[in-house]
Amino acid sequence: MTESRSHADRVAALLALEDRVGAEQYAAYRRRLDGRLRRAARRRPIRPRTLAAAAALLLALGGLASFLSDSRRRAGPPTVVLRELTRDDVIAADPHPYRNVARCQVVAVVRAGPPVQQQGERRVPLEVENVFRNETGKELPAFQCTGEVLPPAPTSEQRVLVYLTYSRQQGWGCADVVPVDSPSGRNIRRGVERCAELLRAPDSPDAKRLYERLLAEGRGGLDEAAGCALCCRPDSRSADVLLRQLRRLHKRIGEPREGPGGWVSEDDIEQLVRLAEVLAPLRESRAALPLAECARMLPRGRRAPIYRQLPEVCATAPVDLKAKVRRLVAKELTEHHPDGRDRAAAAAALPALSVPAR
Amino acid sequence: MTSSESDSRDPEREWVLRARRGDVDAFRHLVDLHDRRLLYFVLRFVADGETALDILQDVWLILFRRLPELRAPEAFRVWLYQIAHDRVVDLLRRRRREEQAHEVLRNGLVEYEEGPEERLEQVELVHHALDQLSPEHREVLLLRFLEELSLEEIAEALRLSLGTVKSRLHYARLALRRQVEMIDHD
Repeated sequence: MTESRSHADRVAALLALEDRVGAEQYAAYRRRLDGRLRRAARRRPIRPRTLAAAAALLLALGGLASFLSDSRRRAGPPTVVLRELTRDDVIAADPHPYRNVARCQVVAVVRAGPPVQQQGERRVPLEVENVFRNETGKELPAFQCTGEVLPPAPTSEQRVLVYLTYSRQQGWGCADVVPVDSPSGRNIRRGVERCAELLRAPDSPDAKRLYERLLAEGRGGLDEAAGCALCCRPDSRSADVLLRQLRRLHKRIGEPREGPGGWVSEDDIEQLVRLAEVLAPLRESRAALPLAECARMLPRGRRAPIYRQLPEVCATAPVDLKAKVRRLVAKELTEHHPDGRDRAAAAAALPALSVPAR
Repeated sequence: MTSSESDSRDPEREWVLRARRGDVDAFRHLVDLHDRRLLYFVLRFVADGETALDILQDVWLILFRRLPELRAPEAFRVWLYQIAHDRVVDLLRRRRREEQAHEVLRNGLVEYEEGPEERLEQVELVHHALDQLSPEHREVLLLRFLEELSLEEIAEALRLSLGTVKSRLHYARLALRRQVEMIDHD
């Protein structure tokens, strides 16, 4: 950044740093705004002079509009009718709103239009409002659904999140539908948007910086949606920011606590488990010791999820580090009043943490 | 405002006049001109992109409907940010942050020192530091830096007295500088 840089350049650089709204999302918003502006313009009171000019142009415009409308009808995208939920075994077994983002090719918010009667059945047109994910590599077609997909059929103007699968062989399928107009629906929508953003992060030329931003505490940190995305698409460039969060958590858990029993808060336990789950696929040995130490500070009965991840976290760890982690985990087996699940998870982890005898 | 800024705003006046007559294309052009900066502004208060876009859409539609009431086309941007400010405040109030807003309104006045304009060269640091500031500080700095509004225009956009704007800008700059130094130090 040099002194000679103009103010406009600096503003442009500042705007370029904002990446919370993706290009597709922004384009969808502009289309929506254009539509609303056109409708608002039609409702605007018209001055008499304008009215006269408009009348003179009406015939010519009428012909043009008719031509355009015909050609648009001829060249318009094909309509895909979604008739039923088509879930594969994985989605059927675990229809999780965030994990499904990674499993489906298209995730979008659609708005239901007024029902139409076509080819002997009642169909609801679905206007695509926001595309969070589109892995098809092409423009989306127009969608309609029948009552079987969304029983009862969505009312006009209702917004729903649709998870669509697509392949050349199988065509389009609808894996799930989630109404998003309720407060809980809006939360899911926010999580899905965040999840989709993080799933795209590895494709960014500056992924490391993007992770710093997306996983910042102010943006929700490693919340459930972020955890899902990072588990579905592990990327070593996210490790640094995750390790910093782990160190902070390690410090917090190690501090003296007040309250009955001095237990670690539920939020911290949840966060620790999530960190272990996303750091394990990265085989991030720098996380091994803090995770093992944190696990030992958790209440009995809550340590097992951490022990389970330690073998993978330590997969590439140096021998000395592995030995330290092993000693910590082995303590679980000598506890006076061990919890069965913790003990079993610790015992299962120990063989993978063994080090060759000197 | 410098003469070059004044010149650059003249074509905007024409677009505003055309839009005021109901020209949707002219209005769209105004959206093109301001939308990215307005989005950046709104996103400093609303973390969620979708909510920010909803606010933007509301702002533009309100502006479009009320544009015939705008007497001075030069005041377009002040009006734009006034409406955006109102929508953001509405949202924050709905999120029960009213007390914060009131607390700031009770801030005492401090004489504003009109010094050399901060260059804000370290754009990336500023971008991150802005998120750490209070909403009120963020807002006033953005209007000053992003839109280069005068203190009087900011006062009008935020419906504050000139003294409060001076005071707020003074503290906002101090806070921003502190944050930039902290981030830089890290």
